[in-house]
Amino acid sequence: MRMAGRLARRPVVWVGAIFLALTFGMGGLAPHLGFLFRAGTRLVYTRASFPELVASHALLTGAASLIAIAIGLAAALFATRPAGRAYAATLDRLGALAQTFPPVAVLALAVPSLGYGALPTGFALVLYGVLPVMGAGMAGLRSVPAAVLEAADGTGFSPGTRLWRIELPLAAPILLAGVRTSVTIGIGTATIGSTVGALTLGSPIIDGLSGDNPAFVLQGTVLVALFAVTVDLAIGEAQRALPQRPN
Amino acid sequence: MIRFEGICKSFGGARAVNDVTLDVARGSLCALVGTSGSGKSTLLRLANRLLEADEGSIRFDGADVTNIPPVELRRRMGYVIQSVGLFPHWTVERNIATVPRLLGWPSARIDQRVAELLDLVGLPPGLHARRYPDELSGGQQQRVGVARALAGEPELLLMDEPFGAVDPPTRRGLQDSLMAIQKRTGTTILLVTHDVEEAIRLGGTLAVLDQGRLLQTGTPAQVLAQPATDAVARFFGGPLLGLNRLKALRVGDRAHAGAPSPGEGEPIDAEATLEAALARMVAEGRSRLPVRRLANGAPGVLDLADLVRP
Repeated sequence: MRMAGRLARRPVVWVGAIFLALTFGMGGLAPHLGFLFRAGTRLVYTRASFPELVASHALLTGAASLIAIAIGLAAALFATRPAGRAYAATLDRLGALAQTFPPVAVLALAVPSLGYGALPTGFALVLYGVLPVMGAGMAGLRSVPAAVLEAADGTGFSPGTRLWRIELPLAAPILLAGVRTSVTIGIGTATIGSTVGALTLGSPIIDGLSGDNPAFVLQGTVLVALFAVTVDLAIGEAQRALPQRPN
Repeated sequence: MIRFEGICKSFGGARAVNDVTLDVARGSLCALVGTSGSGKSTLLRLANRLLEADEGSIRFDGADVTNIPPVELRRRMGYVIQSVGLFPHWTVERNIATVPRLLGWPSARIDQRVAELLDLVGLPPGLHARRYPDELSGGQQQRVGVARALAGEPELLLMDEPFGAVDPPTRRGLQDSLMAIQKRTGTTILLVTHDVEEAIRLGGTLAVLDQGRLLQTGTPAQVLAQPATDAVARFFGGPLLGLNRLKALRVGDRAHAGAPSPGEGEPIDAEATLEAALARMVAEGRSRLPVRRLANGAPGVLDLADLVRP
């Protein structure tokens, strides 16, 4: 009973609960929001249900995030191994350069080769998601003290065991902070994918903007924001669960 | 146990180690001494292949080290560094168990070994086993570092200025523990230090390096009595070399038979250094001290003149 009480006080639980309630309740709630808008505004978004939009949005950002994390982590590992250390600065610059393209421009340029829909959106999300993971991965791996690495080598760790048992656990807190940034940015950025036909929570926003319907814009925006905050808080919980050493 | 033969190692054209030949006997303690840049740490790191020699060969227990995979070689040698390098996310217990776990020992044997080692390095197991490194003092951390290095029952212990980062009283405590540990385990120790007192105190063989060359080997008493070159003399104190020599010799080395007369004060131990004897003479205003027991068991005396006898 008390444990349940303590759980309920965690922000991730109640923000997540509001997010889920609105996802499934928006269809029922929308018709009653007429007082907020100009008379005659269409209040119920009909192109897809909100659970459908959330599922599609989650699938797209989830897949893109996984790919971005894999690429970012691989790049960070490569840049901190003896063979790749010379390329670290180049990778840093490449990642920073990727972030300077405006997302809308990336989408516009990707459409001719990748077509419309989820694919160009996923591509843009991966492009933006890699940098925070790569940067945090490099920072985390570099934060492992030189003495610890020398002791690991001197006691007879193989390079793989050293990475797995010593370097990654010690880099984890910083690495996870990068993952948190990457995923939350991705959830927000994915909305733009609806300009090229991807089904996301951006769809009501884009349709609302082009059809002069503030009700749709509001509904989409509230859900995207709640989604991003929920995921951000959930990763924060994972960070807290990590062993607190070294402090 | 380990033999360096004609070893050369350069870094970017600069010779760090130049044609060094050195034999460390099984069960002995050899201290590589010299100023910074003398090549002593480089020589140590060549032993466990953290570095590879340009020329020459290193034989470990008869086998050329280049024929032993580095990971296997390092598990057979303990390694202790000045900055300790304990794994901060592991408890003391887990840190000490590092090599036994890498070697795949059964867990009962590991637990027993960890308890043994905590005792050996003078840490009460109940108090320290479950702590994390950042909860220990510098001296305690290095005790754990030594325990970790010894855990896999290595044939050779390599130590790179192991006690350089702790305060002098703690350092002396660690040196005493190290000597006691070696007495009990018989492990061969190759140790790097730039601390003259430490080199003399540990009392094994000295190997004096300067600018990559091995200048002299011998016991502290031998090296201090007859430094091979000016550089060796300079390293051991230059004009003060004579004082350091008093640290390398024992009362028993110089005392002579004789009955102490009354009023000569508390007898001094034959195992005490001549430095300690001189300190007492100065403090008590005497030029003669009674000696508790000579090697033959008889009482003896030590005169001020005995200290300066050649």
